[in-house]
Amino acid sequence: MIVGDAMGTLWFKGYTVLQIESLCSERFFNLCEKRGICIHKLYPQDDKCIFTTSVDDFYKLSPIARKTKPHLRIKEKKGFPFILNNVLKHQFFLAGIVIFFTVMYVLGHFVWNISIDGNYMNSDDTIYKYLDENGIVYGTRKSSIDCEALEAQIRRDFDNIIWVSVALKGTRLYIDIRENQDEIITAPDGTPSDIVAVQDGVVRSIVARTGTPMVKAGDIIKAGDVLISGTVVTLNESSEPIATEQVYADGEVQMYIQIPYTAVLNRSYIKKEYTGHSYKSVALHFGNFRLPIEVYKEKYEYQDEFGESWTLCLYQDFYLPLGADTTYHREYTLTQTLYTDDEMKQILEENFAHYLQKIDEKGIQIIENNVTISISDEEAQMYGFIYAIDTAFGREEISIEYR
Amino acid sequence: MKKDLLDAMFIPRDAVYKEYNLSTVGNKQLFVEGFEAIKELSSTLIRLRVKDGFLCITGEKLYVEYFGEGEIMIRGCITAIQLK
Repeated sequence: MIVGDAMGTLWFKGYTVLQIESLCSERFFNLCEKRGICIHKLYPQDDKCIFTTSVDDFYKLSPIARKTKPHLRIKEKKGFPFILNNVLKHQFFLAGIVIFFTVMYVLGHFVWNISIDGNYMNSDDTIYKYLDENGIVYGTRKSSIDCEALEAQIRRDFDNIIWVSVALKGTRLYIDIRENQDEIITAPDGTPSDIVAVQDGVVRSIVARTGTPMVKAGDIIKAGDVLISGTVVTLNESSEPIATEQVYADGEVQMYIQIPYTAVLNRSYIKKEYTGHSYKSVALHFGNFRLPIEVYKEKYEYQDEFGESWTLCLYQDFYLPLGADTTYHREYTLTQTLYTDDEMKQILEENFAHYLQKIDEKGIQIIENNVTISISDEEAQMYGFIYAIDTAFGREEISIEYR
Repeated sequence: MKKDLLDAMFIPRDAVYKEYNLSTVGNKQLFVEGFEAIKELSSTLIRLRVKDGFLCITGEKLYVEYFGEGEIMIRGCITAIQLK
């Protein structure tokens, strides 16, 4: 039961498919068996038989063929030796394979793709430009890139990048970035200072942790007024000052504030409308060289362009400097149009809602708003006030004169 | 006497008496060991000479998968195996 193995071995050693035409083919095969010749895939077809034998056994057939005188014909030659022989005959094909692997080997020593991940505050273009300035572009030798040094350099040159990982995989350079998205909180330096109001309002509540409160709930104050003073005066039993100390004032002040809001919207505007006409253009790129192929082109007065880039990737991270850039062009027209009253009202309300949202994000608590919309033939106006509670305050160093 | 001795030593008969041995896989494959020669070969009948006579394998689309060293593997749609 060695059929499977035998066929595998046959393929490596090479085998021939023969056709025998004889009245006594049985005798031929019996003689083969006696001489130790193995026959495979013997198909009887009327007075003919097709069978397979190894190349070694094929040469042992001649004395038997002389004896039985069959009509023996080679139908096919198969197996590795024949394939190899066939390949060797095609020198250009062989040269092509050698050149292909050589080119692949050479191209594998360069960077053909840069992947940037994790960046939000620094755009891809900013980082590409930065890499370009530091000599890292498509086609840079991999051996000339020191990943650790590049990591340190990026961290040093970008203040908002707190962690960076640079790795080379195949022909791809991976740059993974973590940015500090929180606001930089500076620790109080302890310099004696006052807490001052940043805008006009009415004090809702005041709690002084350090320093002397200068206002009380209900007081009307103006921007720049001192709310908590950094000067602490110690009094004796007779309420006479016996000591003065300058401290870093600290505390919480809540103020009722009034924010004016005005928005104007012109009735006339330029409307952008897509015509439905579009076309696609393709450009091939090899490294930094770009070859545009403009088989079909249309001329648009106004157009939107957006594109996508494709780079040839042989396997996982093995990118090659070959690819195509596809650009889509969409035509649009600009026409002078007028808003209807409802449209104007809707736009103004949407803008106002967006403005309120932004105020809320700043930590200002909105109590009430009192805005009105007035619409004329030319424009629409939205104006009024927003009433809110603000906890923001400024700080002012205690000056020598103040002391 | 010889038979008793072989039985006692657990030696198979086909190894000593050069008898043939058949094994089949369904009706699609037949493997014969210890046959002497092929006497007739066609896609419907394969006749093998064995020690005591002839083994006739009839069927359809019969072909020899492997043949050599006293072994033959026949494949196809086997309908009958007869000893004549």
